[in-house]
Amino acid sequence: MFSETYRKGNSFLHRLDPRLKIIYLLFFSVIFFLPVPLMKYYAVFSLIFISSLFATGLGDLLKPVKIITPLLLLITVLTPLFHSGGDVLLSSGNMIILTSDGLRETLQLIGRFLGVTILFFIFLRTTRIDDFILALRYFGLSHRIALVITITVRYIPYLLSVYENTVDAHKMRLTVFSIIPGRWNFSAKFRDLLSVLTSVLIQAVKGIPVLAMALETRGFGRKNPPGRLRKMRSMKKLLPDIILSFFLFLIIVYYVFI
Amino acid sequence: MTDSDKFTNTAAFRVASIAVLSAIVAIFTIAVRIPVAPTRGYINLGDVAIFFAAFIFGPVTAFIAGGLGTAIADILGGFGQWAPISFVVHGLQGFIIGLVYNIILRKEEAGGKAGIFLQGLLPFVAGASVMVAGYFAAGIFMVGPGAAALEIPGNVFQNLAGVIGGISLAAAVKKAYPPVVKFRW
Repeated sequence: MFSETYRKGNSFLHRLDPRLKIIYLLFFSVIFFLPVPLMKYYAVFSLIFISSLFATGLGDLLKPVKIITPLLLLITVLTPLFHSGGDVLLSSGNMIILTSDGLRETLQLIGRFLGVTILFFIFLRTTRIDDFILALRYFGLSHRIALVITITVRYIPYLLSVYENTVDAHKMRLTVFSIIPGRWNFSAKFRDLLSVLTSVLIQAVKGIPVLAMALETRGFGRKNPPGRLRKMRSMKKLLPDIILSFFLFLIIVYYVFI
Repeated sequence: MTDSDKFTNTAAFRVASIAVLSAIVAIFTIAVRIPVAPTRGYINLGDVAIFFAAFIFGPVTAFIAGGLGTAIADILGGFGQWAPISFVVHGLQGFIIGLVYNIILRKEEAGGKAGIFLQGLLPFVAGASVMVAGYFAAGIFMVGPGAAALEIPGNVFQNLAGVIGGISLAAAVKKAYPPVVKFRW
């Protein structure tokens, strides 16, 4: 299911250990929410953007930007209205449209939202879900929660196909909207949708006891520790990456704050 | 305690119910979307599934399933940057709805009568307050107060659809599959 977000590749971001990628994600996310000068802010953003370009290419990297473009326009239009401090840059009669404070805040919000969006996009684009869960396990995620995430991810395509099959079945039985396709009736459409969702829910809920029994049969709930199919790279092998990342963090922190 | 009560108390049952409900929340969020301009880009029926989970399965399942399901849906829908926020906000929303509904159920067990209106109104107010306030607070930091405020009407509408759909679905599923009433923990 996560194949929609993960794209196979051989870039350095694809090869980077997922545990380090999680630390990078947190580190840069925090920087985007700190009050740092605008120039430094966009310098960090450029670093992330250029690194991401090598991993995905421009076309792919612009996809999340296209999704958030309407929101970026809204930020551009609405944010200056909330900031009247600083020099007046644009006015119409007595009405102040844009001030220096408003412009700075707008640019900061745009940079922040773009930066965070690209950070998460590139993380999910270059990290497989099983690697992500293994990394979370390394950082202390419990076996049960990891199991819940794994089952959820595996169940989504199944339930999606149940939903699609149910919609098709309802269409074949000529429900309200199949009979009068041109007419738009909200309450009838809502009722129609609810009957589809009820069928999906009953199918899903009935499967819970069966899934629970399957888990018990596979040994879930036993006292002995669970086995692992895959293991992550040892810390020894990861040492060069850790040292390199440490110096990179140090340089960025020095540049941003000093 | 009957055999089925014992069964619903097992860790395997709890893991299975949370996982299936998380998948349901994700499907409801992904499959049915009404596009809107502000912030997250679309109104969805994820809240219907969260209300359903809280009404049928209780606050803990609704907390994890609501948070995890919406976070996964955000990731799959290309809104990964909202996933941590969705996890916290929708998780808390599910938990609060479940808690309020627990109080109503206890009152009814003690002989009181809440009525269908109150059964829907109190969870709606509690759930909508948490969700709207949570997204607004997060939105202020992410996109600024102007864009964050534009999202409020959509979120209220989403909760309204959630409570209406959640109550209807809970009643329909209880009728079609009566053992589900024992799944609450």
